[in-house]
Amino acid sequence: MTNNPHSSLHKSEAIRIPFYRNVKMINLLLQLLFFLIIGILAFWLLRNMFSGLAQQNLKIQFGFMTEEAGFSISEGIEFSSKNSYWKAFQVGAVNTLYVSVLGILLSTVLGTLIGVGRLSHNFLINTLSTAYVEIVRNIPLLVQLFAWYHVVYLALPGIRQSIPLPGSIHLSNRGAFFPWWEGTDTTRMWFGFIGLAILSGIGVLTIMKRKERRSGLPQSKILLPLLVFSGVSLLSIFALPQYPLHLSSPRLKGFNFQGGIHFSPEFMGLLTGLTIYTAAFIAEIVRAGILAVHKGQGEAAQALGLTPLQIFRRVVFPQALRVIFPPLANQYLNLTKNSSLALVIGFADLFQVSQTISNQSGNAIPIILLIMGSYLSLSLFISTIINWFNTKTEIVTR
Amino acid sequence: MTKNRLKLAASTLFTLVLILGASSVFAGKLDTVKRRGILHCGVNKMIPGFGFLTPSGQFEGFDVAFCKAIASTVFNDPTKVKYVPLSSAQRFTALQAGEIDVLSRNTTWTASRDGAVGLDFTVTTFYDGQGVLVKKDLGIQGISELAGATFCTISGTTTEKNITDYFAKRNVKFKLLTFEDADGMMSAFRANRCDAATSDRSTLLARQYAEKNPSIYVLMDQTISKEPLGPAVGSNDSQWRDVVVWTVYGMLAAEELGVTQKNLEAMKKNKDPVIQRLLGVTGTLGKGLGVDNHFVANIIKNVGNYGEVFERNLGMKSKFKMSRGLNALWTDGGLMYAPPFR
Repeated sequence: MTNNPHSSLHKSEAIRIPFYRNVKMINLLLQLLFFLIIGILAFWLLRNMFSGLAQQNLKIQFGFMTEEAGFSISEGIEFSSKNSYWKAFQVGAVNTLYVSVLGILLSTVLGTLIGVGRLSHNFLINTLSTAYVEIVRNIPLLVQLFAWYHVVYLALPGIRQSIPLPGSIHLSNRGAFFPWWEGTDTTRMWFGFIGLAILSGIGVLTIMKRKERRSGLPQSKILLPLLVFSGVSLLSIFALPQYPLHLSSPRLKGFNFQGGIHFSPEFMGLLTGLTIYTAAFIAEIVRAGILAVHKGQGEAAQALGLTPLQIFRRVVFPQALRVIFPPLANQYLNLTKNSSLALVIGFADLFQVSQTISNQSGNAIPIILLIMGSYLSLSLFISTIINWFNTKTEIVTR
Repeated sequence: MTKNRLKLAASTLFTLVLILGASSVFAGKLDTVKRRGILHCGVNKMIPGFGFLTPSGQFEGFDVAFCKAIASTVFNDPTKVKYVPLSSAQRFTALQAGEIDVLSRNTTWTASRDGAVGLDFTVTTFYDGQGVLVKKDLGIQGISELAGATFCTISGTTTEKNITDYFAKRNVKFKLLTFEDADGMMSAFRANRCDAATSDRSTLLARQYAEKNPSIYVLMDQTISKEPLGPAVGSNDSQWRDVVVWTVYGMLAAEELGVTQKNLEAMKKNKDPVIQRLLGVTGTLGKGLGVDNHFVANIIKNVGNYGEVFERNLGMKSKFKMSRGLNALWTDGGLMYAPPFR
């Protein structure tokens, strides 16, 4: 204490610091003031909103959502005009989820390929990948969506002149029609067998793991469990009295194709646009991630005698993932939110259906709140999944 | 230094309190518009004849003429209008939020919009009905033959419900594809994405004539709904609503009494007391509404009477060659009828 050069200050207690010159006090007061201003501002904005709503005789309530919708939706889960607005909202939400999940999967695959391609020593692959990234990410997504929808998919021939592709696939400006399996009476039984197959696959895997731990010899643990799984699930088909699935091919009937599975041009336009656009950004993230791994890591692995593929799979890529994951999550969120541009090409996503509900029911503000809430929870859901993956790839420290 | 900071904070707080106090004062729309000096009018920009943004950046059309007429009523100047182009889906929110003073954008008057949506409709300026546009080569005679077909329409309109009701009543399946605006609907229809386009007949007719080759399309004779179109204003402001209502009625009354842009000056000297009151030569009708006593004369001078506006934008003087039909004056067997100016 006596060595403290400031101790002389403490001794002379006669000098009292006024509160407005006390740094601690000033900081506290300023923070209080800041909170007060924010609070007043928020209160003022909210009060303004509520008084504005009252002037217009509008209320924030959601009771109308149970009323009959009365309009139709072009695609998605089963919906009739007799269903409620809630049901319509769900149809839109499911469509958004559907296109987002598919878009995330496809853009990740495409983006990774192009990102790796940009690092390739092959001149053609390298140039093409660079050109892809530079062209795609510099054109607004909205323009690209218009182009995919109006210039590509709607330019396909009409339904009666549809292009037949091998495997009973039909391509026209009404969309792509694929053959698809339809369930029969024994489908449920077969699902039971598939459950059994999964269990036996896991069983085999556990036995192999135990064996590996005992012997200490590393071995591939993918082939045998997969073989057991597919063997059980396929053989069970023949054990059933009737095939559990039935392949239905699309046939032209009246104004449209019947049977099979159908992807509308709106859906394809949106999915293609989102995938192509987001892949360009993902490619850059992947490239940056791989470049971020120190060169010495690869060289060290090489010195240990690992093959180039092993080096990439075991040494470089796992470390690159740590850099890749956080910005990748941003791109997934962007893709999900960008899917609301579906409005301009007529795809019945969450936003488009909500707009219709808002106009038919006249409740703009509750609907806007619902839209915001839905995108927020969707985004938080995606971030949670990515964060979980992220923590798994982080360096384990003790 | 710190003292100054505290002073700054205190004055900020004081300003905030002032704003808080001031925000609760409510003024009527008419006063707001007068003080602002310009009318905010919500219009369409994609339907030639009704509301259309020309390549030179001008708004023109039947609905736009009513914006000009209202501006003439309030300011005696048809150019004091700020046009706000809106999509079907945006229009009501824009009105509720006060972004526009009046919505003159081929909007159907319905009970739910008048009630739950929180707007007030004024007068029907155009009696319309929902129609169906198909390509001639489809060889369809009636709408009922379109069972199972795909229809393109505009999102956030009465047409979505009408067509759903029409086929639900007949227990027939169909597909409805909604687009944000008329351009989206037409380009999908043109590309054969859908078998038919459905909207108000006036919209379809206008869009048909805007196509490169109008003769390959046919607007079916059947009408599946009633679509009375007219300007709408925000709820609970009867003074402002009156201004819009009597602007339209003034144009109708002028047509009925034979007052036109050409003979306006002569008509001002007309002995007929009805005409004198209408044009504000005698009486205080305009003052009672809170606007210039000569407001009808101003509208006629700047925009013309109802018949003139119709002919110029939609009728024989336009490329659409629409007949008046239900939109003729009651004296000619139509539905257009203005209450008396007295």
